Formats: sequence, structure tokens, C-alpha cells
Amino acid sequence: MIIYSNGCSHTAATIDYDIYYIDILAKVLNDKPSYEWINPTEGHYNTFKNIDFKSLSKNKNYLLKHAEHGKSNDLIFFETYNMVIDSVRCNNKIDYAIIQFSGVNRRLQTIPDVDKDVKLIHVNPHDNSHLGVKLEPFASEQSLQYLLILQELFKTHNIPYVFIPYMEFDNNVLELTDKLHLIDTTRLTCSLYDGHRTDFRKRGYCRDAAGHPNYRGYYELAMKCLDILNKEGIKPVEVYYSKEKRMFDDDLAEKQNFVKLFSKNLGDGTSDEIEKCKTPII
Amino acid sequence: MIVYSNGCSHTRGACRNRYEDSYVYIFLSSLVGKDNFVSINKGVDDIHFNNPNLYKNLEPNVHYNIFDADYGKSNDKILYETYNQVLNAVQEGVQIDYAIIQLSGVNRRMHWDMYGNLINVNLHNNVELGPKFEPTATHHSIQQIIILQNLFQKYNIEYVFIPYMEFDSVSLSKNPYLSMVDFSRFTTNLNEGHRNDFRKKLWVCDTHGHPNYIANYYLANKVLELFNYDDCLMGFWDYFSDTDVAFFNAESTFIKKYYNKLGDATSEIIKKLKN
Repeated sequence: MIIYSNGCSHTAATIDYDIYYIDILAKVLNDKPSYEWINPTEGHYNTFKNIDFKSLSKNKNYLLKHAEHGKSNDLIFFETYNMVIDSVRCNNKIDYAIIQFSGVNRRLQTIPDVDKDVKLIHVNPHDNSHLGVKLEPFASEQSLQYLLILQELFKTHNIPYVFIPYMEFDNNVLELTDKLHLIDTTRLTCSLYDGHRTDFRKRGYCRDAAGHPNYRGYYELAMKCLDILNKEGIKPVEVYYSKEKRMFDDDLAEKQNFVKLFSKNLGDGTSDEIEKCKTPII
Repeated sequence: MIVYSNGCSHTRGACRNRYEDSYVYIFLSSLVGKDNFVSINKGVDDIHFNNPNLYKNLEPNVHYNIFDADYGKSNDKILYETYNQVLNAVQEGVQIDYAIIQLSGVNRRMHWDMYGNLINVNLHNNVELGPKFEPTATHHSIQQIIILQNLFQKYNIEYVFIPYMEFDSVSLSKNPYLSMVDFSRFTTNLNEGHRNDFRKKLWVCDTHGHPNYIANYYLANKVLELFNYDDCLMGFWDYFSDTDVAFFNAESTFIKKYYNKLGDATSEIIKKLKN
């Protein structure tokens, strides 16, 4: 079995956790007690490939963790499309795909590189923002198109999938578009209007102003994904996270009252946005 | 009959900035008669999801030429618009009969100005914003071809791809997904493109390799053949008048000499070759 996951830092590994929502999913979905996780090379194209689907054993379980900090929907889309068609081409199809969509204003830029010919860099409000993030209405519109194309791809190849719109899309654009009804909302963990980020901030399900999930957030995401995939078997949260970890995260959430208070205004949680929220209104 | 087309200046009729010089117009004229179709040229607009759906108000029994090609376009934008346009047609229950997609330079991309308007990044415009680099550029375009191919096939739309510019041959040789592309729908192969060949034959009107009358006529015939309309091409002089046609200009010798070195024909490249 092959489970494929992509997303940004809200899905990617950090030094603070050993288990993320995607690992909980893998433990429930896999038909064997153990699985091998592989971190695919950024892009999965040309010489930038470290996975040969033909060489993956059909008797083993694999979790392909493609999520990376700062990733844009441009790259999430590009990689996911490549991974799916590559797995189909090699007759070793991905069994489940869990795709976390990132902030719609993020984008991908290529720059020349001496060693690798080209380097992919992330442009987002935190990194390389001087290169220009995407603006609305185009930003949300293009991410909607990505959703539609990937939805079509998964349905064509009969791959069960879940989309996690962690960040909210621009509500004005969603109001105006006539393509929203084409999206199969039964495969979304939440509404595109809301996303998870603001809600998780409000409920203390995240660990910082940028809205990265804590153990509660990860567990909820795992539950929502399994619900969409119609799979049972998730164990109580204590099984996945130690008492110390849970206490630490809950204490931190308690101390971050600021994050709860400004859950909606924090946006991408850049230093400018944090500063703005902290500045008292005169 | 409804024909949808997209591309860059090489489809736009750039030599005289005249839509009617484009091979798309010759193609349609050959099938339904000159001036016997309605052209909708929305190429200059940014086609956002929330723009009015132009397929809503199409008259029955009228031949339409939905022409989105415009100067400077990237394959990013060609994909974005074409995908939306096909969905727009499907939403209104309108069947696009033929899609003609001219692929542009793979290093081009989209950006936006401070008002949110889409702008083109290519070697001639806004290059300071950074074009795409190889091998990513070629691989992006291959993925875009596969996406559009699947889209056209799903909705039973007859289609052709015109790779006007050559793709990077090294990147192409390493792309694992080429076997998924139906090359029977292409007017030429990706390694070569049309541009250098047209320059060599002097079927261009400038160093950029924009197609002249002969090249547009040739492309119209190629498209007709791929749609199984052999022997339908209207007469050259039935379409163009003798006052239309000026085959050679002062740059001709230079273009012919450096046909395969001109690339995107930026002022730097031209200066280098002239020195």
C-alpha cells in the first residue's frame, strides 16, 4: 500500500513532534503493523527523483511524505500531479492521497543553480516575499483550478483522496466564482471559506501565531481525514501522544491567549501581522 | 461550429497586428467560408473565474471563433485560461468542436501588478521578475500539455497542439512522462518546434520568428490535416490579396543566416549576432 501526502509546514515534520496527522492515518489505513516512510525529492521530475515506483514492493506499506516548510500550492500541485501519473505509469498506483493546500498567495520561483542547474524557491509572506506573492483574485482562482484538476486526476485513476484546505481562501473570490459547485466538498476536511487555521487558533489547537497544529490539531485532522475515507480504527489520542507532550501543548495554548484573541486577524502570522495585532488601537 | 484557440503573439497575427492574418482564421475560413463566422477576441482580458461566461449568449447556427491568443502569453496562462474556458462551455452545455492550442516559450510565466492584473514575464517583458529556468520550465509545460490533453479527451473536443518554439532537448530527454502525450495531435515535434524552420525558410516577418502569410497558411493546412480535413484549405490568393503580401524585408538575410541562433531574439541576442 502507498499513501501519498503533500502540504506545507502545517503538515511537514518538525523537531517538536514524532507523530503527525499523516502518521496517525498511516497507522490506521495500513494493513500491516509497520510502514516505511520516504521523503520524495522536491519536484519529482527529471533528475530530481529519488523514488522509482516500479521498485516499491506491493507487499510493503509506504508513506510518502512530500510536505515541506513554505511550500506553495504551485509546487504541491506540480508534485502531486507528477507523483500520481508516475505511479500510474509504473503500474504501482498510489492507494490514498492526502493533500493539504497551503496559502493561496504563495508561489514557486525557479532560479539558476550551479550544482543542480535550477533551484526551486518558495515565495510566501515569510520567505522571499520581495519577489512578489500572488495577489487576489488570481491567487484564489488558481488554487481553485488546482483543486479541480487534482480532483479530476484522483477520480480518473480511482484514488481515494482528501483535501485539507488548512488556510481559508479569499471569501470575495469564492462568492464570485461560478466554479465552486464543481468541487466535491465531501472530500474537503472543512469549508474553503473557513479553513482550519483560524478555527484551530481560536480553540487552542495550534502551537504558534502562524497556526501550526499542536497534538490536538493533528489528531482532529486525522479524524476528519479518516471520516472522509470512511475508515474506522483511530485509537484514543493518548495512544499517539505522551502525557508530557499533551500537557506541554495545552500549557502553551493556554499561555498564547493572544493567538486565540486575534485568531482571525493573524493571517499568515508574519512578524508584521503580529506587530499590528499587538499594537493597541488608540 | 465552435473553435477555441489560445497561444501567444505567434498565433495573434503579429506581423501586421491583424487577427485575420492568423492561421486560426484561415482554418475557419477554409471550413465555413471567409467572413462566415463570428470572432470573439478576448485575449487581452484576464480571464478570471468571475468574468461573464461568454458561452451563455452564443447564437445557435452561428460559427464561432473564440480566440484567446495574445502577445507575450506563457503556457501557464494558456493552461489557466483554456481550462476555464472549457469548463465555461461545459457549464452552459456548449460543445467546443475544435481546440487549437499553440504552446509558447517554456520559460515564460505569469505575474501580476499591484492592482492584481495578470502580467506576462518573458524575455521581452518584465524579465526582471525572473522567467522560469530549465529543467523545470520544460517539465512544467509537459505537465500542462498532459492536463489539457486529458481535458479535451474527457469532453470529446478535437484538439491540436502547435509547439511553435522548440523545447529544451536535454530536459525533454529526461522527462519520464512523454509517453503519456499523444504526439499524433501535434503539428511538429517538441525538439524542433516551428520557429527555427520558419526562419530558415524565411516564412517569418521578424527576428522573433513571427509567422508570415506563408507560415500561417502552412499552419492552417497542418491543423486541417490533423482534424482530417484533407484538401479543404482555401486558395492562398482567395484568402490574401496581393497587396497583403510582402514576403521579404531588410532583415531577411540576417534571419536566414542565424535562424537557429536567434532564440527568443532579445535585443542582446541580436546585438551579439550582429557583432
